[in-house]
Amino acid sequence: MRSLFLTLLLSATLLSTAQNNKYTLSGYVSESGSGEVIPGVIIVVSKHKAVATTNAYGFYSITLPEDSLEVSVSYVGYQARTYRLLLNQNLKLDVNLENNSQLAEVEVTAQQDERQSEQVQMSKIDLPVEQIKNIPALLGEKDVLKAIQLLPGVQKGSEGSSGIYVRGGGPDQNLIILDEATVYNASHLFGFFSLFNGDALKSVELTKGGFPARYGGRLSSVIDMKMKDGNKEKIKGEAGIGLISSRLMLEGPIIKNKASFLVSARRTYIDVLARPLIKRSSNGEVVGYYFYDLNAKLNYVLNYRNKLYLSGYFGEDKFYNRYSRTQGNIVDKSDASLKWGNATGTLRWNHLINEKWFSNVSFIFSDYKFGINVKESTNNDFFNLKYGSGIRDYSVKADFDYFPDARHAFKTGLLATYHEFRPNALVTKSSTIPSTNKNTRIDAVETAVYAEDDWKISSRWRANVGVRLSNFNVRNTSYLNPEPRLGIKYSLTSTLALKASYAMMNQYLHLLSNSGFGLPTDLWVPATERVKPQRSQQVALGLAKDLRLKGMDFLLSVEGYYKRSRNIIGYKEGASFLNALDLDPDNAAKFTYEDIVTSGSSESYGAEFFVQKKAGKFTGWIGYTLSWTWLTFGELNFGKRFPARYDRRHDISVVGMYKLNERISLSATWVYGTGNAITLPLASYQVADQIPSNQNSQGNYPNYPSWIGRSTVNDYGERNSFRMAAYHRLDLAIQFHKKRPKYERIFELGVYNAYNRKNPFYYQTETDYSTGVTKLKQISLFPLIPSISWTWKF
Amino acid sequence: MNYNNTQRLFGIALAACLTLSACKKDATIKLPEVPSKLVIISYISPQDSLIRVDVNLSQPLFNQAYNGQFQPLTQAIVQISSSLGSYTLPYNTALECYALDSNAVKIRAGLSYTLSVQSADGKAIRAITEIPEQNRSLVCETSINSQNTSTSDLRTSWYDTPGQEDYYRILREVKSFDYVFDGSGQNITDTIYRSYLSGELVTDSENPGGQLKRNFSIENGLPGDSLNVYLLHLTKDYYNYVVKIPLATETNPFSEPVQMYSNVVGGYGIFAGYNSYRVRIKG
Repeated sequence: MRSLFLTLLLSATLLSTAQNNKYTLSGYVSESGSGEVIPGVIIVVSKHKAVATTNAYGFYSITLPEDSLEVSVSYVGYQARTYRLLLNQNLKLDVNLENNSQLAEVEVTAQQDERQSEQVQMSKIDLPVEQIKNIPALLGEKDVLKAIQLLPGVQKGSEGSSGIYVRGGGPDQNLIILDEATVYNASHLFGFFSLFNGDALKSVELTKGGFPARYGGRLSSVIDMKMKDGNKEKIKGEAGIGLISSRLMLEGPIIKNKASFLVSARRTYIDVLARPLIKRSSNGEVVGYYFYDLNAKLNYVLNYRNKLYLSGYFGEDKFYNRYSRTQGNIVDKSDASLKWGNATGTLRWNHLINEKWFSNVSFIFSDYKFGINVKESTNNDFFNLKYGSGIRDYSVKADFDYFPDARHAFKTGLLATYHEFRPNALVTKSSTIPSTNKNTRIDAVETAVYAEDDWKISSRWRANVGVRLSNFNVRNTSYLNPEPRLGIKYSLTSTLALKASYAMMNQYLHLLSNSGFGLPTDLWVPATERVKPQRSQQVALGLAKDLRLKGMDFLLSVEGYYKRSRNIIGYKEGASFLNALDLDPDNAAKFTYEDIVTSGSSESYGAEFFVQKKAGKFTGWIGYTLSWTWLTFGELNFGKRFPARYDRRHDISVVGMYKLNERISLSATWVYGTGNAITLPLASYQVADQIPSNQNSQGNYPNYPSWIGRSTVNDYGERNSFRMAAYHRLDLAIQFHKKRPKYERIFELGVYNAYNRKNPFYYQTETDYSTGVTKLKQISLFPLIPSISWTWKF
Repeated sequence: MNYNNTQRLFGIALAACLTLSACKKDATIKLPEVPSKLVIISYISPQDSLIRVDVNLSQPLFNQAYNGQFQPLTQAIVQISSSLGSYTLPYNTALECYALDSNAVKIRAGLSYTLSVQSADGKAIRAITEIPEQNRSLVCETSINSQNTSTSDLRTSWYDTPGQEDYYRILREVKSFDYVFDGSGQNITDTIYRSYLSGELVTDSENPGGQLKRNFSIENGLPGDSLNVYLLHLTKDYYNYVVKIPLATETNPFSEPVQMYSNVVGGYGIFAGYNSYRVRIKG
């Protein structure tokens, strides 16, 4: 393992020194008018069949023999540019690309672009933020994670949920990173909305397999979101008013072309609007809920070689319930709240070591907290309870990009994270029952080092070869795991490629979840000596085709995958997070999450079909996934494998956006999914434990077993052996744009669930006591819901 | 007020979300036709003087009248057989079960027993169990608790049988004397109370083939009381069934449904053997 890593570094150094007559063309690519650097831009030198791509900070470097060159720089949605230059020394070429959202299709396709069929990376989808903002959404609240749910291989949990299940993996197996900081709970309002509405985001990228070595720590996916840097040239902004929330984003220069800022905030106001009504109708009892988000970023260009970025996210959800009642001499007071929230912060230092080496060092903070506070009193009796759980990370990360020549692009780096897990902290004080004071904290250190090379082997073959070495130390246990990664591409024709990948992943964190909805009660816990780290191996094979039909460009991909994971955990039968709320001091002291979990394995396989059109008047995609996901736990379902709750045989998403003219744009999504696998009671019967019966001295009764604990239980059959009704839904939206010299106003009308499909949210039994007949009832959440919103851009 | 209100807070929060616009209708899921099945409960042991088999029927939950009452089935044919013979158990009206004197059946350690039940309408089930060997290695020590002199510390230990999976539970038996005054004067009668200490079931997985230990705190009782401790050696079926009862009857709305264990082919319930060994502590 160590020798492989050294070999990669040594190769890089040797390649660097062996190129005597070659020169390097390097620089940054940014957006004209804002100075925002653009990642993923393609730099093509046709004469040498050389292609480079800008990294996450807009930097590129390409080393070629001395020559007269024509260099094309292009990116979808931007006006491409071509340069002619003589490369007879190391050159610096910074490029500004003109953003042209109304770019005619023919203009985009005329540019040389790195096609999907040329990339070695498979199982990765970039989702333009502007597209996300055009997709119809529940109550008009634009939502990045719900847009990601529309991609093949990604499944949502249940109605309205922003939980994400990628290729059979659980929500905890997604690494959601915002400016390199891990976001542990990406849900607002019990999962109905996600933290990300897109206002502050520059890019969203989903990787669901074939993971490059730079990514690790989760089994199923990486959702990499990068915040905008903030306009370096002028103050710009965007404000929006919706049915449940309002939002504001401001960005601009602090020192022109040197320092900039971005602030984006959102808050719901149902509680404020409803407060007078609630107070009047409920005898002074106040019940309310709100959530807010705040994104902020500061950037400072120290000089051409050094840049600093400071970014952060803060958000919180809070439910509260207060009352004070007096009846005669009795004064009854209660103040209870349930809140959860994330805070992240990232300080990054970009340093351009030379024209071939680029480095970034990040200091990252991430904190997720869930808490319950209850204060109650009746005259002199009182009861106070504080329950909390959470996770806090302090990380340092260093990444290096090295571009030795046109055939290789190395990445290497290291990461160290100090985790503070607080699975449960419970403090109670009462005038009537014994106090409890329990604070579980588990500290752990996670480190990783990686190296990868994007290697253009020949005109047809290209590979991404890498390895990651991860280590986790908790209590007195240490895990060290090498994780080989491989991606290969073979070009069958100039527009058709066969791709294959293999990735081994280790995950040292578990999420204990009863619901899978993304509830804040889900507990993040570390792998320990008893609870082993999760591990997966995934292979994928696919075809990627760039297709041009009637002047329109399409991306087509077909991928098959097989993933096997082990040491995934779940609650034991009958257990839940409420076990942590045992107020008996003796039990509270003994409680540990390791006692209430059981581990097992999963197997998922399937095929994904994806057709996407990224540019032009009509954009959108069609995704279809055929998949199977099986779980096997020794302690569940009597050890027999069973389908996962979100095992979904068929999943279809159709997303279309059409720009009718300068003033009107239309969008629609239609989704279909096989119903979730669920367990239902079928019959009930009696059970009983035994105890040798009482016997008196006269021997009136024989010694025989009698029953204790006689009770009625349900027969559920095999676990998850039933299917909920299929889920399907059509959402529509129409946007009216009004452009003025200094601002643009967008007025949007939307309809969620346009044909009022009653999709199942859950099922319950209900007995008609007049007939004694029990029926199964389906509970549906959202019928047809219209929405309206206004957005101003200035 | 405390714990209930915490749950109430969750209730308010979740209900606020779920009832935003929730609507209810009959489910369209096609549910299988589930017939009533025979249910039995029977534990057998060489120390018991009576073999008891409770027989009733399960009730399908959906699409027919459900009353939650489980009346004993009185017209079934209940047979128990082993290599020593086959016996039919008659229905015992007083006990509302099928019962037979153990001496007739001869329950012996190491033997396998088959219980078969056939109802009048033709339903038939079958279950098999073995009787584990008696574990005679139980050692008990008691001492008065220095902190609380009305209780004693009871320390139990025993050796597990190597090379096999074993399951145990510990039973306490207290015999106390009651003075009864009636028309004929004062009578002394004794009463036996039996209970499982801490209710815990023990597997040998914590020290396979080695020494197993459990400590308890017990009340001292009256001077004339006698105290016996039993080590029950259980079959795996016994353990699997009993350990699931509290889980399957749990009403926590957040926990997953629990599948009850059964070793009955064609029905539900338990037919399990055990063997107990007694240590006399006092009296």
